Amino acid sequence: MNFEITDICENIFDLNFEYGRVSGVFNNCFNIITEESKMLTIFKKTQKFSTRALISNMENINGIFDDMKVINKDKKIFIDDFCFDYKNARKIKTKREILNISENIDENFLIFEDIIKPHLEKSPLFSEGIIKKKADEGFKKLYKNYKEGFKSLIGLGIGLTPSCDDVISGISAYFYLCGKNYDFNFHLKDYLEKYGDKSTTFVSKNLLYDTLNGYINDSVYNVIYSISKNKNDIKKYTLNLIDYGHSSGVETCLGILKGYKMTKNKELI
Amino acid sequence: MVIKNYIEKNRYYDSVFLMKIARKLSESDNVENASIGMGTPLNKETITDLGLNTEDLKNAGPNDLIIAIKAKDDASFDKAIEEFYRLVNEKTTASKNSYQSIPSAKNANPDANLAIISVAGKFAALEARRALMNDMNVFMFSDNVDIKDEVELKKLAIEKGKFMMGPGCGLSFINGVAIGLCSMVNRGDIGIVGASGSGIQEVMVLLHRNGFGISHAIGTGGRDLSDEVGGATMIQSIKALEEDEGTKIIALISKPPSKSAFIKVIDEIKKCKKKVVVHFLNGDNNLLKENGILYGETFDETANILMELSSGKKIEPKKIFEDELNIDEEIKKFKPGQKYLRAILCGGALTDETLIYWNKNGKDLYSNVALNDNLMLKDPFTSYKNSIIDIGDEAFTKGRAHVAIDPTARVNRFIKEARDKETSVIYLDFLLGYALHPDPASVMAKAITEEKERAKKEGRNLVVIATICGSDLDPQDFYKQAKILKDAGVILFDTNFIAAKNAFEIINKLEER
Repeated sequence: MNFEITDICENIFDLNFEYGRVSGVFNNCFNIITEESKMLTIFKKTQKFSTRALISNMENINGIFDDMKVINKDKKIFIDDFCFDYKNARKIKTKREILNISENIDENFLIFEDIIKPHLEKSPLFSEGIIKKKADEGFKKLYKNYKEGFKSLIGLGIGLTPSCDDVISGISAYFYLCGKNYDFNFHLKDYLEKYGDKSTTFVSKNLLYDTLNGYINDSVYNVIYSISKNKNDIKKYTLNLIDYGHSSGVETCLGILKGYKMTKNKELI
Repeated sequence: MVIKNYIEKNRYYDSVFLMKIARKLSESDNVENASIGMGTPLNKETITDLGLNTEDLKNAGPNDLIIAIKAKDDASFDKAIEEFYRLVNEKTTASKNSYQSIPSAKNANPDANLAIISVAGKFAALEARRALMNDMNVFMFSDNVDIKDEVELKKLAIEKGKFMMGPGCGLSFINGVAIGLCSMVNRGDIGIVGASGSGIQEVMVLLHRNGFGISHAIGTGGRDLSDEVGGATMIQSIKALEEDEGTKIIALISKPPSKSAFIKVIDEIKKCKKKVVVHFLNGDNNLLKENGILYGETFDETANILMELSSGKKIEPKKIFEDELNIDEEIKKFKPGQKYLRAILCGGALTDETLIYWNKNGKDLYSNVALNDNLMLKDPFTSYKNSIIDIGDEAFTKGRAHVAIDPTARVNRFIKEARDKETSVIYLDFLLGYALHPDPASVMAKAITEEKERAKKEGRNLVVIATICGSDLDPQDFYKQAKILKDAGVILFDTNFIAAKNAFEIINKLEER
């Protein structure tokens, strides 16, 4: 079956790999992990996608299963009987510009916090005793020493993107977009390059790496944008992000809030 | 006890699902503790802290799934793993048509234009907002939603050209589709807008029985005609039915509106090009009269007026049940001391209609939803003298399904009333339709037969009367339900009003005796 890849995110545009396998099939997309543990996600026709997306003209994902072998050759991706031709694919700009922060950011963050509060129970960080305890200790360490903090947090929590990774992703996105605390993302990048493959899932490592480099998906970007610019949209975009994944969305929101509080209270090195 | 770690290479599931599975496995008698997660170093440390680690844990990498279990023995562990796969298969099968959120459901089904919301009140408003923002109409069964949210949602709905039916909306009937706890009826040229589920249903089925039909019935939710909401959905619906080619006449059914909402609705009715018939239970009909607006004082009368307007002639309502209650004969059978009516109704509007009739005819009827404070039951679970219970009220539905869906709560109350030596008549209503209990008559019939028998042995005459608010198109089989009740010795009446009248007659005559 032949399909066309119509658009590819700029951060993975070169598609420099030979082999891979399907690892994770969802309602609207599936992941490919390459031999270098890089992740790509092929989406069916959609307006909503992640930062590692290849958008195809597939109507549905039927017939794609985990562990199928993937071959990349001659501007085509082969998966069993499926062929995805990307020679005419357009580049999607995904790297974000730094935002100018509004004067009303404190008030806007109060609104944001109110919206996410009832949803926090979704996250194992609030319901799982031992994980919550470890996470709390990990964040205390993070405020004092990034490396020790990342060591205690990255990879902690069940699910494909561990809960603490999602919180860190929220912090990272906030710092990047608000042009603050560059050293946080600098140290995060260093940690992931050295220890990422061993400390967390490949999906999470790839997504964290994208975020700290400014490749931030629409759901997260819109929340931070609305908080920094237009309070009328905060509710709409926050609810949209909360729906993302199963608890990932709400954990990312928590991370954004933590990022703000860390800046406010100067809980940093 | 055995502790084992089961590793699935390159496998993962979402975190909420895994937490649910871990909890379910731990609840099993033969499993002391279970933990599930990806094999990241920190997760493995957590499993170790819980004392669920084995040597196998080392073999798990960050992209592998670990199931760590402390079980009674090897067989129990194997059973737990089997259970894990069973739950995974269940999820896989279910997830083909289930979605994480309204936006993702809409994404997968772009033509979907109605969201039916039945979640706990505190989340319902958020979900409704999402649905409206995704260009869907909303039918909200949930109640306990803040009235400020209702106002905001209805405003948003109107801006987007959508309907916000609810909160607390029991039923609607749109384009021939029964939504919520709704009977199936014929299509026709009569449109209904109502803030009262069983009220709409009663009128709908009366029209259907007599060969008439419904274009659309739009439920607004019980608070639509409050001061705060101002009849937003009712007014929107009047306009929509006015524009609808298939609608010739419009009926409005509700409890009495607030004064300000009433005035707004009257203004809208006066502008409407189509005939409008109003039935606001216990409302100010003088105000309607002054404004030249047609009204009915009971559901039966409202239905009659609608049929006359639709056909252009007077209609004699069809008789469904030929049961005649020979009241004088029944009176003779009652033991001295048997003097009270106990009505236990599922339909709130049917309860109200009965209360209004008794009140108008000067007889006290106590209730958990009484019209006057001095007739309010001190304890809704204990009747006093002549009593009517709206068993669909909040007091009875906290933490359980509405009695029209799960009738077991009414069985217990029926038995209690039947064994009260002062009870002479018990009145029950049976609601039919989609999403309602598949066989409410059978649920009650056994108790009715047994209690009538017990009363007889004790020398008492227990009369049970009932109505069936449904149509012959309903899945419960209207006539089968009727037969089951008749076989149990129940006397059936065609409408709630007729039943209320007959019950009144019996009690009156008992008092005169």
